[in-house]
Amino acid sequence: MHKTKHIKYRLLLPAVFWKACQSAGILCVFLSVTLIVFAQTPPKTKEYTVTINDTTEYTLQLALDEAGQPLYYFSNLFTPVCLTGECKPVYINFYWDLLGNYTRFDFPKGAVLTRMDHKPFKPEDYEKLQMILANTHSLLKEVSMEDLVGKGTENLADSVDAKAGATLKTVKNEVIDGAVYTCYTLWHIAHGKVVTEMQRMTESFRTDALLHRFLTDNNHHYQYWAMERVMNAEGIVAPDFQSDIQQIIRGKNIFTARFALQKVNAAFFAEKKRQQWLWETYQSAGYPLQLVILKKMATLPLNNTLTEQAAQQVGKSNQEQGSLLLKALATQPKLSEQTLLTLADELTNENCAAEVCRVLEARQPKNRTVQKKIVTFKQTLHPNDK
Amino acid sequence: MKPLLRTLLLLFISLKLSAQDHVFLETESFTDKGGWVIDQQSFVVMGSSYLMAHGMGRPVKDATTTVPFPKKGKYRVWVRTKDWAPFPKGPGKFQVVLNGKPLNQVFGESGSDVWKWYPGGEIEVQNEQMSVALHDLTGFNGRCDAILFTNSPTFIPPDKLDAMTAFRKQQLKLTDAPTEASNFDLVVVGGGIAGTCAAISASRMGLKVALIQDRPVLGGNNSSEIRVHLMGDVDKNHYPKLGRIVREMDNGDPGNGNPDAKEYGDARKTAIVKGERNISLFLNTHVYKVEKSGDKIVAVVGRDIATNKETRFTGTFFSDCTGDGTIGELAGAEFRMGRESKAETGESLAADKADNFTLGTSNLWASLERDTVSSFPETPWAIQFSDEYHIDDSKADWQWETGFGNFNTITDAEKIRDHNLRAIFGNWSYLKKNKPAKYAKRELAWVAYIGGKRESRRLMGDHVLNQMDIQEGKQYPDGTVTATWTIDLHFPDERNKKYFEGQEFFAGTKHIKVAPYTIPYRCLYSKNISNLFMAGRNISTTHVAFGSTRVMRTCGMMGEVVGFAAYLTKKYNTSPRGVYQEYLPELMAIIKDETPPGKP
Repeated sequence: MHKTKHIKYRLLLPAVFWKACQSAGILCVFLSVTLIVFAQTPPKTKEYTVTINDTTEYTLQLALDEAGQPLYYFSNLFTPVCLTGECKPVYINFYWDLLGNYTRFDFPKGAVLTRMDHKPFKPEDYEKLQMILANTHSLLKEVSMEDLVGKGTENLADSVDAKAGATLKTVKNEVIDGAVYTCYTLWHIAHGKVVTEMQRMTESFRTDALLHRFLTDNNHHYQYWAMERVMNAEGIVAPDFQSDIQQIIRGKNIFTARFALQKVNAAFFAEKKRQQWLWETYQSAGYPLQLVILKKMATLPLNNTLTEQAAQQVGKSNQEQGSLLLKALATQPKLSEQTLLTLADELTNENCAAEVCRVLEARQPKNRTVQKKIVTFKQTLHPNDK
Repeated sequence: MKPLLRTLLLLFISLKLSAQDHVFLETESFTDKGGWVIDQQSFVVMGSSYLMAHGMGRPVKDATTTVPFPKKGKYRVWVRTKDWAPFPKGPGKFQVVLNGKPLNQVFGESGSDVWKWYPGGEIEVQNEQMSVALHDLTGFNGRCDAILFTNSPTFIPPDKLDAMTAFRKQQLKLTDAPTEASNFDLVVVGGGIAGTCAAISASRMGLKVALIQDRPVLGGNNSSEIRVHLMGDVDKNHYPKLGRIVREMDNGDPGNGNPDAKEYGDARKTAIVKGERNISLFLNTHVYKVEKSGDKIVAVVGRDIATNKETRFTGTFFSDCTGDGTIGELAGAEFRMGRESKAETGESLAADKADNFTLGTSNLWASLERDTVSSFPETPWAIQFSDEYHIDDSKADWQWETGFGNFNTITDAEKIRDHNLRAIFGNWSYLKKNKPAKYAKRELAWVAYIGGKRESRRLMGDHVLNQMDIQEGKQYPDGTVTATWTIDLHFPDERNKKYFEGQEFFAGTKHIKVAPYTIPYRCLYSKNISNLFMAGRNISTTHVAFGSTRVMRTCGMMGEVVGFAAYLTKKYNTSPRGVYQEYLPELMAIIKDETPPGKP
């Protein structure tokens, strides 16, 4: 874990607060304010104060690079973790990406985490903590602290009462035994109100340059955020960002690729060059994305080159791909004679002939060869194709 | 057609048939299965078991056998198989090796997931015997149902189910009468926790019992083949006598999907049953046929999942502990499958409209940390993951689940299991490649190829347990088994659904807590098949109530009650319903461990 280099901290926690916290009884967890300046040494930082409620404030730092481009957020936190009147201070540094997604933690020099029995965390506990904090969808989101350890003051173990039910048993996997409060408190800070504040701040310094950067980043949160900002409700993509969108469609994240493909307007593929690009993408794509592309093709007016290529592919595909290819062809207002001829060749392919015949007949083809092949197919109709 | 002409035609056809020599080979009957495993889970839709190369990405050892040939000469080879993951081509590739020489074709990568006969070319048979081997090429679940050698160049073996079943029966000579097992007081079909407890309970009451299980091990979902832990409490019972046999079955709690098979105590369970002198245990036997007389079952017929030998079991009473309600369904017992509507049951948790939704099936898995770094193959045919969505876990728990109404848990059992495998292998491949810090030295230790099924048919009894019975804690006079599990109705996990709509493989649940309540005895026998008991997940409940009764300790106690009730049916020569109507005080006295009241 990366250790911080320059640490100063200034506690804004009045003694009275601490006292109140100590005497507040069961399940008292105060997130109090904190502050450490220059925890790490990014080239530049910008400081924000985030007010969570009357008693809680964070000093949030935005790290910037030399050129003043935003890099990430961090905060040097101090929070007491209290259980049944006993509080212990926790000093920890949290890091988030520019959209408030928690990324990692580290500590001011000398700070460690301890379990309720005051034993310090072991290396594997820190690993587990990172896993817990990185899980945006943790069950900790749903449960209250009371649910976690059971009501009453007798239970000082700070362990999940596994007998309470299967959900809690599952939660047990998401906390560190003997440090449930610490996990719970820290998770709720990492994923708390501060997240929306970071999103709001990032929005305030959105530029085209930032959008390009986000679209081409590996961070899918950045990509979705930027896609929503460079495409309008109809899926029209601002011209400057079209190549970024193409890059996403060919990227290795199937989900952002699918999102982009499904969302872009048909106009995106109006040009012949773009259609060829789509077909090349189809040929190199993994199977799930291939199906998305074929479904998209059924919503696009396709040029003759593409319909001919699609027709050639019908017989070489599996059943699902073949059906989707034919559907894409069937939705075209017009099909070239060459496309019909290519399709007619598939009338001897027993895997798809029946479906091909339906598509061809709907076109009432004038071409003699096509007509002849349809007749031949019908005369030799396999009983399964009836 | 005139009768004479028809006879002549038939004669002609049969002469022509007899001129052909078929050598039919069921792969599950291979003498040495090598690393291949027998899968009988699709018997109801295929009429057979098959062999599968479940190597978790490493090719398994060849399965081998020797086949006698009636004549030397030219034979055509046909191989019955499928491509189980045609996306667009699956990984289940294998070769058929004859006398040490592989056929040219590679099977299992046709792009079609329909079981079919594939031509394997022509061979010259020069000896009276030939060695046949299945040679797996990938370790990714290639499968083969049967191999046919025919000296007829024009014969094409049938693909359609009815014709194939007839052909199979003819080739296996199953048209002959099956072997008779002796006559039993109680025939228990299904050797899961419910069935095993039913058999032991009845046996200890002095009944002569047959226990028939379609796998080589007992315990069902709690066996080492599936590895689900036992849930439901036995220490909150209204009648503490219940749960004693369940405790004997209980091998401690290793959790779900523990990588150590021994934790689930298969051998101990079998030993307990074998120690019962009144139980005849029939493992590896899939019951697929029921014989009836009036509203009674008189016999069931089972087929050995390896040898394909058939056995007929006659009995006075039968207990359907199959989970799927197979016996009930075959016998025409009334059943439900899917969800009832609110209007039908009056339950607040029921669906607005009745539908086919069921809880899914889990194929659990686990990995282990090893000393060295290992790799895992690319799996383009599997479900695809990315940094954005993958399951960052080194083992499975109950959430790994497929089949929420989008698949039929009985007829699509193979598809469901295969979908689970595509999720497991796709995710594992992703983790190994993209998260080396955590997974480089981890290796798949175990992946279940037998699905752990949660829900299928529910056979209807004289009482249908519902949500109100449970939540209002109704204590019926025949309330027997105490159930404690929450109403635990799974549904697709929200995130999983977002990414894989219609193809979900990960579940969520809401546990609705219940106070301990009792299940009426009337839920444990069929309302219209007069000698049929049931225990396990297929008892008479609504879908909602099933959410609570379905856990295995609870199911085991149902079995215990069935054993006691079966004793009374024999003692008084009455029916399961007769026990409720006339001998309930005696049944309850047994359950309460009291001296039975005098004869009424």
